[in-house]
Amino acid sequence: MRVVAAILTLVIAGGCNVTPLQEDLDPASVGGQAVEYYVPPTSPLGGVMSDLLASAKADVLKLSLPVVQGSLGGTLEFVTSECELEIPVFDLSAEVLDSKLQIAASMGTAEVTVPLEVYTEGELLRACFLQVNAPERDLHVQLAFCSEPENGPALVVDGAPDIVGMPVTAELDFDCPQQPGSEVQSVVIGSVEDIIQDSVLGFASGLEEVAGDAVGVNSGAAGSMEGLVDFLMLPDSAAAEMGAADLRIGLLGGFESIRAPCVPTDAADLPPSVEPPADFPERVPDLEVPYGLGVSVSKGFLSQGLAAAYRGGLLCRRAGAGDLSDVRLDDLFPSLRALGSLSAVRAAVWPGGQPEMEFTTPDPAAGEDLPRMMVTLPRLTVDIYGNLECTDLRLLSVTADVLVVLAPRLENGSLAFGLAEAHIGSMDINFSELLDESDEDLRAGSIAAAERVIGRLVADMGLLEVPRPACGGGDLLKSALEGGRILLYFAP
Amino acid sequence: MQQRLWILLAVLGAVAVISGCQSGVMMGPCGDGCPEGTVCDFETGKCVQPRPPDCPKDLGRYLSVASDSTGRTIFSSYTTDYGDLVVGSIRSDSTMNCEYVDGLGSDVGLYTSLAVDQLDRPRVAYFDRSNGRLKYAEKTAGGWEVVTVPRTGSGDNVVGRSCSLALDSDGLPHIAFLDETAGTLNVARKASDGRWAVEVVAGADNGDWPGTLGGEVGRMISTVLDTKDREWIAYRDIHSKSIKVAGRQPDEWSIIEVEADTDLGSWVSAALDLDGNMALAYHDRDEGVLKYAWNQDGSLQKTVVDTGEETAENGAVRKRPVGQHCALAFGCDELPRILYLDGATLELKLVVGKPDGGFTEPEVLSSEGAVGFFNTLAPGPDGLHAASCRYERNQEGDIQATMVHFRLDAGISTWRGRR
Repeated sequence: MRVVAAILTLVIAGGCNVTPLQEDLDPASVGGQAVEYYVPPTSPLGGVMSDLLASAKADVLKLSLPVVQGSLGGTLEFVTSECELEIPVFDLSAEVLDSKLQIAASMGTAEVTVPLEVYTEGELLRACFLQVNAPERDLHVQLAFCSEPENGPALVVDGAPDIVGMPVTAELDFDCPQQPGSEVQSVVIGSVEDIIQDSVLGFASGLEEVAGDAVGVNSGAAGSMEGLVDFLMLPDSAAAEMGAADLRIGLLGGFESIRAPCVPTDAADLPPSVEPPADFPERVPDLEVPYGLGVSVSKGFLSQGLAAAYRGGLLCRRAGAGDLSDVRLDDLFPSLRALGSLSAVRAAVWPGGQPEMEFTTPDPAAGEDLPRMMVTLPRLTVDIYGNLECTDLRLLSVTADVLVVLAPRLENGSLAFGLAEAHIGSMDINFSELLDESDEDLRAGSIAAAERVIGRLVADMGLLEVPRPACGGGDLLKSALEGGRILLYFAP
Repeated sequence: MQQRLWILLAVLGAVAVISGCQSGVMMGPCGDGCPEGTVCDFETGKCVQPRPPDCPKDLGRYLSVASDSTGRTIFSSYTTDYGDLVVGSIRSDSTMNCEYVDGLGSDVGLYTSLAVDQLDRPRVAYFDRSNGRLKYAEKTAGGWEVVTVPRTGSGDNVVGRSCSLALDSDGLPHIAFLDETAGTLNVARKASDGRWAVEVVAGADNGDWPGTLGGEVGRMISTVLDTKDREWIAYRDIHSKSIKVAGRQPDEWSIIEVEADTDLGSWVSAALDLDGNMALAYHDRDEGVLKYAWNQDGSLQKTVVDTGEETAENGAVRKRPVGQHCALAFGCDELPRILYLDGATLELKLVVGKPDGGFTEPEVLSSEGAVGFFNTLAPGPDGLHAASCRYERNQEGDIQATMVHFRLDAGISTWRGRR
């Protein structure tokens, strides 16, 4: 179950704590459209980018005015001191328009008093001040996809940024000496204009990264889960596009594993299964508020991940993996009480066949908003151990066809799993040496014990952080199952 | 009248087997007498069940065996029938006789550790659970003498769990044990004048120790003495959960870490090979494996003896916990033998060392019932004496321990091993 969680984390997120891979996966294991991000026209990208800039403390341009010197006319010369100038950026807006991401922002008025020293023939004559004023300006930047197939898609500045506004002015103290031919205003203004220009260009370049974070261009991951399953999920250059008013990014994805000793020898990886991308523009979800991000996940991609997890041994668990808290057995098997005080139940889990996964709609009455995951685990063996006076004793071993229905949910941005249902079928009891129940009681108790252990294992999976493209950083508004994909709609 | 006579006989019988019951029959301690089926214990003044003349039904928990010079197996065990320490021997026809050495009125006899001195007299260290004390019993010509080993430090400390006894060349006992209140590994030594001295070996400075082990803890201490009568104690460090060996040097203890930073199990068994080198078998609970460590020319060597892996019909390799309740001894062929429990199949298993340093494939020594608990091994003149505890359900559905014993061929008898 942990694997499924990890897969979903990757899927929704495009990022988790993983070990970077040194080598890519075999291309034959990787398919396109494993995951899709869709940014609708209603996505408030401007606000999202403003928040990103603010959190990075990049919503204020901080300019350093260098020392400049020149002539004040005649024998008079001036030298300015270094000083700082701050220009706030506000009213940032961004929207997809005609296959470009159009970004506009206002740059606030900035004023600074520049100290200035006046010299004559090398001797300091007096100190003055120059009042510099940079009036409010408007910035327009246009980003477009620049697809480098080997590097994945990227948003880059398309054309020169457009800066519109009144020019910088500079006013010298009225009693500061200057003579005809003084160049103080022109030199200082020219210097400030150059610095503002450079800074704005840098800011525009920085918007590439911010926009990439907002829409998911910079998402994706490649690595290894516990060294057993290698995976890759990266934005695909060929599947990144902007339309008239929306944007979509398809991600390549795949899983590979080497068969672990704990799984049957016939375990096999699955090829990538590629479903067509969801046609988000045609699907208008019944929502009361506009959504910021649509995510669609290929079921085939998840199934491939589950198969790789199975083959790589991530579904195996040995008894030494740790105690299962709060699992009681003596109420199911009263004969255990004769053994004494059993503590610390442990479990070993051994999958016996290729698992399969399906999805069903969530149960809103149970507070569920993500599709339920039905995982079939054929011929799963569960060994249950109890600890009696520092001795781990196998109390029960059963092999059964197990159907686990998981109810995933998002909690504060992290993914958690609940066990909605567990069904144990075709059960064989392999071992029950220390139990003294009747066959009927043993069977009933074994089913209940297996359900408890599976429930505990699911509960112990813990929370998994689920980072998302920033334009979908809000609550999950709705989920849907359509075709071969899971659709998720997130608030901005 | 017949009933009174029976009670009197039972009392006399009990007095005969109870160490320390020096007083004769007298009125008072049990008031006007005891209910039917019980007898008066004059030490405690309580009415208790009389002990039968033969061995208890429940026998084999906290088992320890030794061999006397004739090759007879001597054993000590705790019985839940009465909460007693039982010491007995196995006759040539495999029948057993038992003595109820200690326990009337109190729950004693856990963690028995048995040794036989050069006059074939059994000595036993064990834990008194009722009073939280380490006790020591030795058989003399006059019967059993039972003492409570004096405590050091706080008078209320619970001491004695997981005790391990070794006799020095003068037949004097050295007992390593846990002071669980202080969280220390201690060793108690009895001098020739009968006085006891207790020394803290390790673990005294841990401020986080909660002051209790929380119950029974397995065999986490195993003691051997070298040819200079210096203690070598293999133990699980209860603070770090690692496996260590403490060796008594002339002025201090040397502590060697065998396995670190892992939640190792509570089963450790040490032995000296015929050249006096220390070796130990232990269970790694995290990995569920049986391990073996030994001193090879001053260098610590380690190996996994049994990984606990088995291959299913579908080709999958599955792991099960093996190595709990391990017991180690060397045969006269200089090769180690290890008895241990397979925690999944509940079988008693045996591995034998090979001259190349490896071990044989695990052999099932017994698979009848749930067997392989409290295993114990001791060298004797005619092979290795092995015993184990089997759990079975009695007619009432209660779990009952049964002692099973074996004689393992261990090469040509030269009796070079220290008992």
